[in-house]
Amino acid sequence: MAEAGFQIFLSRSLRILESEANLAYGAVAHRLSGRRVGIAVDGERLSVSSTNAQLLVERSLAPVVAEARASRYVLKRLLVGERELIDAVCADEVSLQGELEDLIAFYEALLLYFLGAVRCPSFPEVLREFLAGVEHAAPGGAQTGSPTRVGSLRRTAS
Amino acid sequence: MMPPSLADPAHRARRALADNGFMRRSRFGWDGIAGHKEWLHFALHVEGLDLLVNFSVVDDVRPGIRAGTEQSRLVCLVREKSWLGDIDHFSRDETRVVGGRLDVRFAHNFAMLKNGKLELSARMRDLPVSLELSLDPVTLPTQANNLQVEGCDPINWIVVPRLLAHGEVRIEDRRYVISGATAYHDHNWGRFRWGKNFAWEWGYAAPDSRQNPWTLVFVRLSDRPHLADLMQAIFLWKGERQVRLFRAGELRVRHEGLLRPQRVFKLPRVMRLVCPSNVTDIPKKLVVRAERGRDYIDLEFLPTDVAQVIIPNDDDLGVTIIHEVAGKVAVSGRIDGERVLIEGSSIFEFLGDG
Repeated sequence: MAEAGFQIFLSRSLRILESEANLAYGAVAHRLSGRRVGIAVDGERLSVSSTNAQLLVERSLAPVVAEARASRYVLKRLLVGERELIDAVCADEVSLQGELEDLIAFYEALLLYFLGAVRCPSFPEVLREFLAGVEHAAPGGAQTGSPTRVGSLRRTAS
Repeated sequence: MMPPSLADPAHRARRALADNGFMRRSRFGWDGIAGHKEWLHFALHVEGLDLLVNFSVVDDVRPGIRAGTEQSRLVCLVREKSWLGDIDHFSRDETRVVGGRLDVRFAHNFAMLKNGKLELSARMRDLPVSLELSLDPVTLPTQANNLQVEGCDPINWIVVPRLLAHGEVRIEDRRYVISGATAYHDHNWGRFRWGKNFAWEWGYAAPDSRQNPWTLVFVRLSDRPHLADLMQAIFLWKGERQVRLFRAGELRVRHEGLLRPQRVFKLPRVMRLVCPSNVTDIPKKLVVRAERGRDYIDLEFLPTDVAQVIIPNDDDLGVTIIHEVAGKVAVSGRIDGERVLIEGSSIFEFLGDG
């Protein structure tokens, strides 16, 4: 299930955010503007960057200004409300790295992401699929993939 | 056995629910006017269990979505020693709501009127909770049309505050057989906007004993910061009929202390990431005194536990928090020289900011 894992969940959910809660998508992009932040889940390392109001998810080793690391198990507990972020951080279940200013920007972007996600009728199903994948996930897994541009605030006529 | 005094009135109550409790429905599909919200809300209390079920349909106004499409949700909250709950979402294909009738179906779940009784069936997808209930109205409904709030369309409300419930509720491997328990139902609709300048407090008091004829509903609509009341009222029923309405300056409402729950259960569960706080402005005790002439009512609600249903605002990125507060309610008073006493379990609602 690794390929149906975190990158797919994050990329799909950002696409949904862009189409169903564009205000929130713009707010996330604005808050991360000019930054590249990292999210590592069970060693699957992704970066999210924001350039010109566009969010890009990549598997990348490029430097990031702030990074959060957690296991899928912890991520699931956070997503279903069984664990609070502050408790997970204090217990080292989520580790954070970066300058304070960048971590605050990262955290606020995360809040905006979820404030948008709960406005998206398509989000619960994507979350459900991801959580089901976590339920059955084997440790490790394939770690390949190409960058995913996830939506844009600048629409072009087609 | 139902007391003789309620036997025939129960028939009238069933008829009144059929005549008034129908789904109003959205006009979005046929004249493009969007923004309709409508839900059926049910609560039930038996020893060791509080249950809340809510069927809601809301116009889906996402760009590119066919006019008339709705978002359908089933909210289920149960409280034994602590809260458990979830929200299930349903596609257009899984949703069937008949306007002009009380007939709502979301996949295998339904709320419908059959022979004057409300039949409820629900089985949550990811939560080990299911229920089959038949709710027989004891009181006639009261309808409040056009509750005006600032900045959006009014809220419409119909309440049937007392029904007799039969059936069963299953939670994990536990089975609650419901036989004549007290239940509550209300129904809201309109094109009001979450996040606008309004908040409410409401609750009900229905006795556990079927022999006790009194039933009460308290409602208070205020501005969002709770600085100015827009309306407040106590409705009182004796048997099936509403016999008193206290309103406006006839009520004095007081909050005493603050409830300090150790952990607040939240729906959708993912919202704990956004609204992690367990601090609420729910009072430790709600006290209401209503008085007109020689008639008076004293109400005390003692909250014991709170769950939050967190709703995204319609026009900004904020949220509105509906606090579902379980507790004990006690009412005493005198109406036309007759003593009023009610004691029972209840779930009061308090709206707050995120």
